[in-house]
Amino acid sequence: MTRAQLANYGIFFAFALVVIGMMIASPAFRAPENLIAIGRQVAVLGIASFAMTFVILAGEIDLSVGAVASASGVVTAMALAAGFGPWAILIGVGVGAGFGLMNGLLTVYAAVPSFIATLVSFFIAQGVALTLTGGRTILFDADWFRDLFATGSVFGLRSAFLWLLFAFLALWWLLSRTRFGAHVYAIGGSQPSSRMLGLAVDRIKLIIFTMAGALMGLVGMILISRIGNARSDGAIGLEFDAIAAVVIGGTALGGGTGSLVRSLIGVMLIGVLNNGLAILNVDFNAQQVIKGVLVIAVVLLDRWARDLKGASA
Amino acid sequence: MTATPRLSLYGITKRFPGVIALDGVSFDVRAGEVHAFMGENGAGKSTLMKIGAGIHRPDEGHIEVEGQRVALSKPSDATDLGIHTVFQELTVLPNLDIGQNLLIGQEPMRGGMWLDRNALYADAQAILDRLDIKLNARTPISKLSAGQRQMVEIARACGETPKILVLDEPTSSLGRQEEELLFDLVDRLRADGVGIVYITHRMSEVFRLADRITVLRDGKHVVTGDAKDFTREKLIAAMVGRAVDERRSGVHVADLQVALRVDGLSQGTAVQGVSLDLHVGEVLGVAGLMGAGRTELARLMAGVDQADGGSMTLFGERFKPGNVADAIEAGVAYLPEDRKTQGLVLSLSVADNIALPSLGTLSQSGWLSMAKLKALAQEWSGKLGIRAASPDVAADTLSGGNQQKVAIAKWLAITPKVILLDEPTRGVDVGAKAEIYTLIRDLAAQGTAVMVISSELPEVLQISDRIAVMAQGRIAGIVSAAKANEESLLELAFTEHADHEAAA
Amino acid sequence: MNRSAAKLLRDLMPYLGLILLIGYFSLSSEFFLNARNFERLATDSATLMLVAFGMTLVILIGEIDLSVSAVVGLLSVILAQMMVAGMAWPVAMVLVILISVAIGTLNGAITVYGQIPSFIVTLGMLAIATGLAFVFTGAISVAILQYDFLDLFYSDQILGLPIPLIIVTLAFIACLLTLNRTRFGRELFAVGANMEAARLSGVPVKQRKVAVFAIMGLLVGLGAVLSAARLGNGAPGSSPTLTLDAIAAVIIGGASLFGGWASVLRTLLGALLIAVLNNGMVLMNVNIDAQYIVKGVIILFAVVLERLASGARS
Repeated sequence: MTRAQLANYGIFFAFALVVIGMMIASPAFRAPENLIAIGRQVAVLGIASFAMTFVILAGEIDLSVGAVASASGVVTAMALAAGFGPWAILIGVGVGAGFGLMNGLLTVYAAVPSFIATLVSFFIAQGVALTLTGGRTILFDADWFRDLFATGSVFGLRSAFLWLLFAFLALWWLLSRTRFGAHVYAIGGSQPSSRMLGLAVDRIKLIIFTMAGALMGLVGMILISRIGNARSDGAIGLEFDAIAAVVIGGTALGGGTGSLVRSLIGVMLIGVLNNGLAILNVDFNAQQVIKGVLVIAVVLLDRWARDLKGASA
Repeated sequence: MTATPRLSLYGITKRFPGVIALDGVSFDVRAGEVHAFMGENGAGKSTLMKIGAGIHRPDEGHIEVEGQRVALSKPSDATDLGIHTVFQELTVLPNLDIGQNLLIGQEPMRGGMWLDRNALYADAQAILDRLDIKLNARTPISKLSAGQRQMVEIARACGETPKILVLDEPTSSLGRQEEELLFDLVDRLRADGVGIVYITHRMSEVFRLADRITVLRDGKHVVTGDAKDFTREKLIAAMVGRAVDERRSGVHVADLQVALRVDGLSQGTAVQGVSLDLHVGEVLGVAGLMGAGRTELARLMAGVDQADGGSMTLFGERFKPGNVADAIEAGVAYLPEDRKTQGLVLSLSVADNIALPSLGTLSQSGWLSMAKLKALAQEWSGKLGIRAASPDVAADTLSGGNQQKVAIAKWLAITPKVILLDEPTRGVDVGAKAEIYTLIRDLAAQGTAVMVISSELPEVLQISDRIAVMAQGRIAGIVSAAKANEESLLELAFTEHADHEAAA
Repeated sequence: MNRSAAKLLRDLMPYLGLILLIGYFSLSSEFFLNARNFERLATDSATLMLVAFGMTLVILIGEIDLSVSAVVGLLSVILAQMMVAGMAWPVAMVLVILISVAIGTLNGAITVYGQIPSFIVTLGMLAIATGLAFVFTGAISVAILQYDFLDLFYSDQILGLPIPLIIVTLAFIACLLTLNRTRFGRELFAVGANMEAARLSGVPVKQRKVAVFAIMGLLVGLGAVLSAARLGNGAPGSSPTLTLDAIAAVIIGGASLFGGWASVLRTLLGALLIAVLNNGMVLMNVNIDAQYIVKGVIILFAVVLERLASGARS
């Protein structure tokens, strides 16, 4: 296997290897109930990673996803507790979309580098979540809501998992089967060329950031539905896990190459890893260390393989 | 010919600050002809092309398409009228495949919301087949050679058969075999009745393809005529034609000490086995067409890039700079061609820019002497007559000519033994130009070995003692400036190597 | 707003902001305007100052470091545990600073030689440092009981000045001199503004960038020592807003977001503004969590102002 092939298909081998390894090492892991549980556990990470895939494909980054999801969750929980009923859903998605819109406006029209623009949103969203909760846990009493976003089931499938599935299909369609998606790739390939070709670069970026924000609203609602309450740090560190999943899946930082399917595999890899390490009683914090090292290693590997491609071309 | 021309330009004039890029140029393109445009670097070809593409707007004159007067104020105006331009700078997206590139922005949809991928590849393949380009629409661009990418770029312009196709030096990155494919494609498009404007530097292509030829010089129209009425000599004569007023007396290099000897220097295909001697006190001009490898050669000599073959000696000692700092240490300075992105740090002050390569000598164990720095900046600002409010103002507040003087001053400040100047007068006004010429002469008189890369032949003839002409990565000849003229230099610059195919 | 107005406002903002804040807190809290409070303010903000100076250099060369909060947490834990294990505090202190320099150098080397954006590298470092800190402590704080150490950085004074204040002053002078009076410093401006022109002028761009990250490591290490002494313990989450505060200080100071221009003096003003804000909000019993919003909005304002001033399209 050449280096370039390793970079292209390494993820699939790694995934297979991890799954097989886990299955041999732990009977608890290979129990069917556990495999279903993994699907449910990765719903939050999955949707965040799909949103991040669009952002990274277009050559940008979003560091605000964890904080925005937490803030949306807190606001939604408070709206539910205050008796807003179904309107709470709209409010939650709106909070997320609002932060996303701000990211987009700053990046596109103020020409602020996206890692700075989204860092600002990160801080503000974190502040909103912290201030609203005051360190408390926000309780709410709305079983219909929890059923809708996490605990309910259709044909034996949990609704959190169904949301993941639905988000994947809808976003896959958007990215792979619409003109919009084709142009996302074009922008990531070369922004100046895309402008020369008359593509609506600014508008597409604005939509991507806003959409990512709205999806973080959805993530926040799944999050609070799963545990039945909202905390200010509900989705802390989610941006890093999402970037990890996207990058491990093989979508290149800098934009232009990658896919939603790859991110899905990246998500499952992290999901299996988290689940397996937990079953093997590896400390949660050690998992963080492993993920940190993994991401840097994967990005370095990717760079190494692409340098080789560039040299041989 | 009785038919109305496809595209006619009447009396087009375009001014940029300080220069008249086009001065009352008229020409037309008919259906089913290849109309070649020739001229030296800076003759106005690319400005004319950009006006046709709707990127620049003419200050005077008007444009007609099939007899109808039109306004081209943005690129889509041109494409809507069927004028498609393929720039030298490719816009093909490297991360997509051929089909996606061909139909970008007009991807076929099913029911308005479902990308019809089968139709996309079928349509794209139909375009490729129609143009007889033997490529599969599903092939990723990353797997294509430079020439194949160029074909894709042209195919995109031909998606809907264009009325006018403008090609800007389409063979600059192609090998001979790929050239033939391109020529066949141009022939087929001509047969289909497309009016083709073909801009090129290469003599052989003109006679192979063109029906008519137009020559521009200094933004003015010189001649238009049927290709069969031109000879190589006649064409070169039309492209030059300026008298050079003043020449260097011509020092006898045989009497001079060799400062820098370059022996068989190579780097990929850009520089192939170049050998030359640069003498103490001489000005060696380096002429050649765009892409002949002149800048690449200078970068190897200055340690910016690393050679993969050959060697150099500096005053008899082995010289192998691993980076620019090594070259500075040895007393070799390189003024890069693009002042804004390479030559200067525009946001820094004039003084900081002048001092940048000299920081080593201005500091003692890391501590900078601000007094010395100021003195150095003052000294060289004064010597070069840099007009700035003070040495502390940012470089980007200066005029082009003064910026260029700062860019030169920073290299003179290291008191180099050898200085390589890449397009030292690009984008400066006439006054500053004359000052820079004087400066170059004084440098040589003081015993510095000077090499000047320039695309302007009169300039090369005026300031050089000897002139090295490069063509396709090699030295096509080194001549005495006193005996050379523009015709003889162009003749050398158009040298085509027999194994040019292997080179590309 | 036109460009020159934006420029003026950007240049005046740290001064105006400081005056406004000091005026406001003086009027609204009787505890603000007194010497004891100012001394507290100075020692409280020592770590922020040191890290902000380092961040100035990092942003000057067009990079960023998102890992500082986590790294300070990790270092404080290591320091506390080495002392608990009986190591003499000067040895432990030096070791921790060396570890910090190593972390900074690693961040820089991966960024420069791996050609990976620094926000990704340092985000990875953030995850690693956070994880390690928790692994070492099991999420509880480790008390430091070597009183010589605590006293030195808490209550001892030289010439009537608290020692953290002296360290910050020295670090400030060192950074100021480095940037303006050394070859290294002048070269950083060129590297940040135009890497290619710097390289073509003989500046070893890659080495310079790694060196900046190493210096950042040194300052973060010092900051971690002061922070641990101040808090009397080592804890993973000991300085949650440090990264935010340091970046805010540099941006309020008007540094270019793309590198090439920054000033330690103006960062000092920015950091003072943040320090006064932190101090004043505590005095006025403002919900501590609201500071994220306040600071976030301040950065937002500063960022947009900087872009307007440098003529970005709007």
